[in-house]
Amino acid sequence: MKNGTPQQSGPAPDYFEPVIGWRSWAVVRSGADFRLRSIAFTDVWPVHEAFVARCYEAVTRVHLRLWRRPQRHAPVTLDCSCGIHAANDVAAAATYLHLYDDMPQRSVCHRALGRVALWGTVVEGDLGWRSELAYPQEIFVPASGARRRVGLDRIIEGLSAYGVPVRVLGDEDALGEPRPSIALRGRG
Amino acid sequence: MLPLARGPAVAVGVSPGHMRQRANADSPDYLSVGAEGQSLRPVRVMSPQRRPHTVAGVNHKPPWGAETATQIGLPRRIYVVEPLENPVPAKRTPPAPKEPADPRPKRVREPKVPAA
Repeated sequence: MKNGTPQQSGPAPDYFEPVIGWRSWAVVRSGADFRLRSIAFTDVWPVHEAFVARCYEAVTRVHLRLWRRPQRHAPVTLDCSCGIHAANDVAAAATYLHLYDDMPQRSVCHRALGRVALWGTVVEGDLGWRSELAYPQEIFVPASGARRRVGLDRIIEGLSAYGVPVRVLGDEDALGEPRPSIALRGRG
Repeated sequence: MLPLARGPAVAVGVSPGHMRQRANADSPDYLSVGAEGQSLRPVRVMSPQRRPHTVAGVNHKPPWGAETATQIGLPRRIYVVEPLENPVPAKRTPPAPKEPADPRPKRVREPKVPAA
């Protein structure tokens, strides 16, 4: 199944449940709404639609020999680094929460942490996964850190458009350790 | 699962030739990864503590996305996941609007008055 439609051809699936990982997002304004965006890229995660990975191999690396510049390929393969990344540990995902925080990014108004469902072609690594398709399953928004005078309530209300639980992560919650109420589910 | 070879540390570059020139066996930031019997592929392994890099006094950051490649560590295996249930929640359909009440006043039948 891709994007909710059954896939008629392709390799036989190995698993029938999505992998659940942890990842960080930037919260950006999209018009009057708020959306999740990748920390390192400018891709905004669509609402009620699977986020599809794209190959950035050809654009993120500096290639001195232009004639040997790699072509974009269909993600995800073992040899590339493409795909939607997620960590198998909440603490590992939290280390990316404030990455590039010091860089001026107008649209970014907050950061979020959450569980994400991964499916399609999935590469499993020592610390997590990268996949072809993904959709958030639970979103945690830190209570503090919102920028540009944006109210936390508005952010939570905006992110609720994803149709998944959106919770406030209090300052007392240590990001370095998973909260007891947050059960980590995934394949090791 | 593919058996992974973990070779001596090598540096990463933009081409194999360049890579060899920049080879630095002492650097702990690089590992070689590859399936058994295949040529080793250098993978830059960068700890979060080492970011951002400072090169010649300039606060230099790795290219965008470079750090995400290390987020999952060394690749172990690849598989296909096809969920039986769609992980994307269905859109909530708004409730159908109620039919507006007929604004016209109901006719009240007047009782027939017997003819005089």
